Amino acid sequence: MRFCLSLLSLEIIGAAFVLFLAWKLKVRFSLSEFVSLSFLAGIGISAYVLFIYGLRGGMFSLFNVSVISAVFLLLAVCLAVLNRGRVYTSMPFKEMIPLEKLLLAGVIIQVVWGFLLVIPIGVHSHDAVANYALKAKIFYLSGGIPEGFFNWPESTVAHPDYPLLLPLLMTWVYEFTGFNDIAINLIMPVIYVAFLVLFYDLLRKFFGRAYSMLAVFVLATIPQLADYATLIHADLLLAVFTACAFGYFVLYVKEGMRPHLVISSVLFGFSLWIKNEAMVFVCAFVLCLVVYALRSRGKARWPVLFTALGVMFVISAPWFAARAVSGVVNSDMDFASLTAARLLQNVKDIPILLNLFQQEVFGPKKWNIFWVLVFGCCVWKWRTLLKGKVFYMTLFLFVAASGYFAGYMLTTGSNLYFLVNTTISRFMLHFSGAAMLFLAVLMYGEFRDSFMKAGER
Amino acid sequence: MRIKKKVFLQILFAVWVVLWVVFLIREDKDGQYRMLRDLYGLEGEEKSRYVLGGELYDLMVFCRQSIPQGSTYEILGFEKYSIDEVRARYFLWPLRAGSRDTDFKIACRGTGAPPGYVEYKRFDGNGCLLVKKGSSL
Repeated sequence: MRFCLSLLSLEIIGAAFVLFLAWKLKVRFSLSEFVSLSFLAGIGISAYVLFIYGLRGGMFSLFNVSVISAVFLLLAVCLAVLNRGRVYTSMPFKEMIPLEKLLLAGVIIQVVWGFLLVIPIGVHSHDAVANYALKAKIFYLSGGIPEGFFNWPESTVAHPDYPLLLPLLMTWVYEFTGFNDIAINLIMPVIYVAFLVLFYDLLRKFFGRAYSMLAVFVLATIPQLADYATLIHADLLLAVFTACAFGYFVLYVKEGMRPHLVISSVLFGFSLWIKNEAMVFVCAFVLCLVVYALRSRGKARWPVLFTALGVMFVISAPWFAARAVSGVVNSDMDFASLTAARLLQNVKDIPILLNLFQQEVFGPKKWNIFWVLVFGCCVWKWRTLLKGKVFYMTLFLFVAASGYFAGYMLTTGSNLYFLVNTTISRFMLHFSGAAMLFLAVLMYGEFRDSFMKAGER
Repeated sequence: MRIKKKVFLQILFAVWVVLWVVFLIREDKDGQYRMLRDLYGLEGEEKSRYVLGGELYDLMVFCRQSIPQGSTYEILGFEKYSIDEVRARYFLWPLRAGSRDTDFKIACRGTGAPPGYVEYKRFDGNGCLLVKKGSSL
């Protein structure tokens, strides 16, 4: 019950923000998009608020998070009045075709299975207990972010330099539930469900209902994605925020509506609070925006570009400022200790990286045939990769993938084999949602006629 | 050509569904069905005991009760950052883990006392709590 209250508080906080967007930018949402987007925004805002409050020496407590939630509730009510109910676009309900029902049943089975796996067990996976859940326990039991936390040694807490969205989200939930590391495990399947709902809504803006459901089914049943929906790891969260931000960006390219770009920027901004790797996606996003602005001369794209940059700056600035002030060092990539010899060794180890990469692509245990489909489709549809909105999708994914490759080359921590072996599958997870949208866009032409005949709407 | 393409796509989808079902219901390396059956039958702290393993859990409870608040400790006998070591550290917080010059050492799996540390309390099982020589704790 208390866990549900914590979810409700996140929903309220996010709803206030989404209602603000609806009021300010005159944008409309479907009900499911409103709920799922509000939840993701609520996650980001609650962590943001808690972080700033904690750095100012404020104590984390149930009273404080309740007051914050109440303030946002008041805001949401005011904004709902200002919007005069013009937030939703209602779509007439039409019965699903049998294929849709089957696909939806598959998604539900996967989701239920995920919940069944996490309900009886507490936080237990390596990165959770070494990093995210330990930090959440520290923040909750200390009633805030302890002094000097960012400079604590690795022997006390793993990677104090990592962004804090997930630990702060868990702390937020703990304020409602008390320290309960069994209930907290439910947060990941809930995020997974919110992701699938929002992803479906995004797909619906591009495709018909059955095809969107097919894409959601494929995404939801990727073993790696479903597995990470049962673990307290930040990788799924990054995949969620990146995929949705990317989806809204592609929508902006397709329709040219500013609100979609603002939502994209907000989600990319919050992704910087999740993992350091988000920087790669944000750089790819900014590059795509610059190219888009350059290719759209005379259409006043530059002010829009600066709006997007401004939104991301405002959202991410507190985290980077705190990092700079506390002088934290990235334990995996320290440019000060990057030598020519180390760089050369990393370059020599590229075959190791490629070998592990092909194992991921062709091994069905973690990915089914997802990456085979993505890369196969790129070969099949190579003529369309640089056309229209697909160009920006290709550019984004290519730049981001190159960024990850460069990151591996610049690593100074463990040897490359160890690092790639322990990270590549989760790094590929970061791309999964965006790659699914890419795949769906590329393949739509092949399915459209079949789905039309089957009565798709 | 169009029909062949359609059949090809249907085969791909069928492969996807078959692999999905196989990997969804397989008994994986962690023995998930046995673990789930066991965990659904346990309550509260018993679940933590199941995850940590009985021996390590009992030793950690002993340490949590014996080490004064505000002290630092290091766990010996496990590979650094191994799953057992990080689970134990998580379990013991707010006791703060450190390395080298800590107030206490938790010697697991028959590990001997490092120089400068003497026995503080012996655990009935396979473990011992050591304290820095000359410490007032």
